[in-house]
Amino acid sequence: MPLTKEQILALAPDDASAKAGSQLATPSKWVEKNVNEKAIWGACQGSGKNPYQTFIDLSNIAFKCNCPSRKFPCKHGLGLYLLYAQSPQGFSKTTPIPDSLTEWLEKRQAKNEEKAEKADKPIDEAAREKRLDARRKKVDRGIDELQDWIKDIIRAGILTMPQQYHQLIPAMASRLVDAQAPGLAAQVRKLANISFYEEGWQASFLRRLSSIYLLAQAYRKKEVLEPSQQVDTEALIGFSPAKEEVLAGETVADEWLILSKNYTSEENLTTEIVWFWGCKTGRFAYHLQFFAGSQITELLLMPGTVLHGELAFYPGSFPLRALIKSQLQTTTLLPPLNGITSMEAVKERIADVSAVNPFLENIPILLQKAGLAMENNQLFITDAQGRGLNLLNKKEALYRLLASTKGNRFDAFCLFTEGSLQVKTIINSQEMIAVA
Amino acid sequence: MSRIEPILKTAMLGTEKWMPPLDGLPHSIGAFIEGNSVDREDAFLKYAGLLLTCDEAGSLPAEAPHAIEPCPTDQLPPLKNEKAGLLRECLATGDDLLIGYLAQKSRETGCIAPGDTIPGLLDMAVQHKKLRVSILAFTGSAGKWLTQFNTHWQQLPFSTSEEMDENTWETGNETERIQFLETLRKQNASKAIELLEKAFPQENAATRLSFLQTLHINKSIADEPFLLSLLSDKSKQVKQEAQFLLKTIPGTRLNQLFLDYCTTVCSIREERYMLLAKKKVLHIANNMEPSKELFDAGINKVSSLKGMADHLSWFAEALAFTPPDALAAALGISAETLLDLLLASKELEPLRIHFSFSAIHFGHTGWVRQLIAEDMFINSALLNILPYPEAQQHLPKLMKTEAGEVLKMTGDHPYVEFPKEIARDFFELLKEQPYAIQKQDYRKLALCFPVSSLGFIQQLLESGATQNINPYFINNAMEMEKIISAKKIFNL
Repeated sequence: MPLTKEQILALAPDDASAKAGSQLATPSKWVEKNVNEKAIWGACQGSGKNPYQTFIDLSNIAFKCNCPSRKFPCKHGLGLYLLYAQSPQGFSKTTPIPDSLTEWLEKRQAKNEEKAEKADKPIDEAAREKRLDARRKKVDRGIDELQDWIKDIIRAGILTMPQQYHQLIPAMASRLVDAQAPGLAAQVRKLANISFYEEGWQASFLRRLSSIYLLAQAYRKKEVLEPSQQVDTEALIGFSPAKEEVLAGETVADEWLILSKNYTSEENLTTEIVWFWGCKTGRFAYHLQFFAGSQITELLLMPGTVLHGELAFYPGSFPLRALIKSQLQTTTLLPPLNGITSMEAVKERIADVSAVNPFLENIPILLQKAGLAMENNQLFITDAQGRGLNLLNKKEALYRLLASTKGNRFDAFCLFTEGSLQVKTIINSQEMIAVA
Repeated sequence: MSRIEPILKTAMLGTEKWMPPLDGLPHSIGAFIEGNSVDREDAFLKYAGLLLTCDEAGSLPAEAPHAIEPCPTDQLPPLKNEKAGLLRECLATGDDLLIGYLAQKSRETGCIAPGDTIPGLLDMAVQHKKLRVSILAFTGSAGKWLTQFNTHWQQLPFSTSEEMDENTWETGNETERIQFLETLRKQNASKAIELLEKAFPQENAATRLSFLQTLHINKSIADEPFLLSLLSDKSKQVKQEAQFLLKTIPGTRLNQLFLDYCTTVCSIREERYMLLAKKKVLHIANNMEPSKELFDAGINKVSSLKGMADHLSWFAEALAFTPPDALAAALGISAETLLDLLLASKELEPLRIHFSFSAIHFGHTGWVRQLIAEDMFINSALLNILPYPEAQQHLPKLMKTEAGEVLKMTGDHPYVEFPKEIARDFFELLKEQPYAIQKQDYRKLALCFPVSSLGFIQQLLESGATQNINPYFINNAMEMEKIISAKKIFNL
């Protein structure tokens, strides 16, 4: 699928790179520009004596440039790709591929094959079991420590938490990482995201803290849980099934509308979360991609497009996380929505989902004919009957929501989180507008 | 008391100090927790976790407060496709220069900004005062409607001058009031004076001065009484401005004094020329000192130029505040002839700058054209007297000596394009003197280049001859090309 200008700009590591890349998307900047079915390559005259050599691997989008920039992709990579998107006719198709590019493409190819080989290698079950046992012991010790930590907090009271959280929480999260319970560590780390200087932090903090405690308890007593709930609990602690297992498990073929795409960054790791809605089955799914530092996403998923294909769901009582098993084609025609129109129905859905998996943090909702109301500077999302829920979006997102809807009724994809709704995308007949 | 409050109290104080009764859940669950807990903290955490989860999942949605009144519908269509994409790109990169252009052009072509871009545009309007008017119009009714949700946006002057009424004058901020006064001066000059007469006693010196400066628009003899009253103002700057206005309004008593003085000291005589011919020459009497009032109004008692006779200096300085047409009429000649005679005078040569002051103060286009044609003076003040398209022809020339002045002038007409040939002249000139202006000025100048100039810019950039040209110029030329290309998209 050829990338559009917007899609290429979405690859930029920051706004400054996007701007610089756009400025380089002009033929006069490039002393050489070529393309073949595998790659785009060009030479950009910079401030130095020799032009920078820039390569783009088209088979599995990747960039390489000999400029000194630490950003990835650099402005030259973005500029060259943008230039190709806007005027491909200006690129020579007959220039022989340079040796350095061939070498780079071959290296990448070899790396991919190495990966595939690694994946094909038979698994040593005994060694795996041994590793798993050792890990479970470590996790158990980590959970012991976590429970003691939570109890200490509750015994002394949370009154002084706003002064202590920045020391207490990261330290505990690090210990859980050491205990190989990354899921729990992430949950603990989220405690620090609470706005301790806003009214009502106590309830949010207690809600999350007690939920982590219950999760730890559930893990300890997982043998009494239903199998699907056992999987849920283990996943939340950080035991994820291997990709191969997921791909071999439950798959759903549908026309998957891509509802939203967001990024979160922690230290050097960026997580991309993309939400889908199955036009035929009405199922929701989300897909995660992780990349560190200078990596870019393996799959390019654009909100507003419809992916025709199969998703393989991670097991669980209310499966949402999925992998893309097959992708037949991507279309751009928005399908008719089949969402919820009343807040009572929203709450019923929340109750149903929470009854199955009380630890689910984000419950997807497709809301139709929603309205907006306001009281004491707090915005509410409402239904036609005038019932509403708090909006959880940040200020900038709320302004975007107001500006895009202009106070009129709208359809939206929302996530239910901590008793409030967060609007992610506004959906109208012609386009989808990202809000948060 | 709700079921939640007791557990929040315990959480705050700590289970050591107070433990709530576990009665918020059905009895069997409470009893189960109590019977299966290892300590108080364990029981409390299980109870709180369950209670809060049930409360969140089970409570009915509340009756929402009043719905937000929708924004009035805009009659104008929003920008779409590539143009909307260009706007979003400019917002993402904070390109205020192009946003100002897009806003102005959309306003002219009857389009408004797409909804999702409006918050970004309002933020930009807050930061960039100069762009406010065009950006605010570009946001349509949604822009004004959105201000109710953000206190930073509430300071934006949404009312256009046409919509402003006296209420704006009473309640608006200083920018809005000045804008209002400027519009009123164009429509009903005497009404503006009435408002100023009432407002001046309450305003501080800086505001009085800002208001007074609006009287340069449509100034007339009717302003004289008000300006005279300001000669006793407490502020020196206000007094000076009022006096300056009185000097430059034809027909005021003060202006008449200047005219009378010039008329008295100046006469036309005939001189023999090449034995047989005669020519008219200007004669300046050297025995008539200006009155005290004229000295008080700014004429220097002693010539500031070394070796220049005082009487000539007095005349030249008085001429700067004498309307050319009135003096010419008094001498029985045309204004054109008067300037010819003035320019022909050898003794007045060092004082020629005062001729241009007269042309500028009284907006005399004839004298301005004549002075420019004589190649004597070329500056932005003179060019500002001419209609802008006419002034544009002289800008490349002015650029050689006063690049800053040119940028100021183009800045006053940021979206008026140069004819292609003028643009080419500029481009060639900058190729020769690339450091005459800074990077941001190249971008501003690019806005005045017509789309047709892309041809010669690209020709140079793609010719392969760029290695012999200053890299600073090449980089800026590329930037210009980007801006003109964006203009091309927008003008499609």
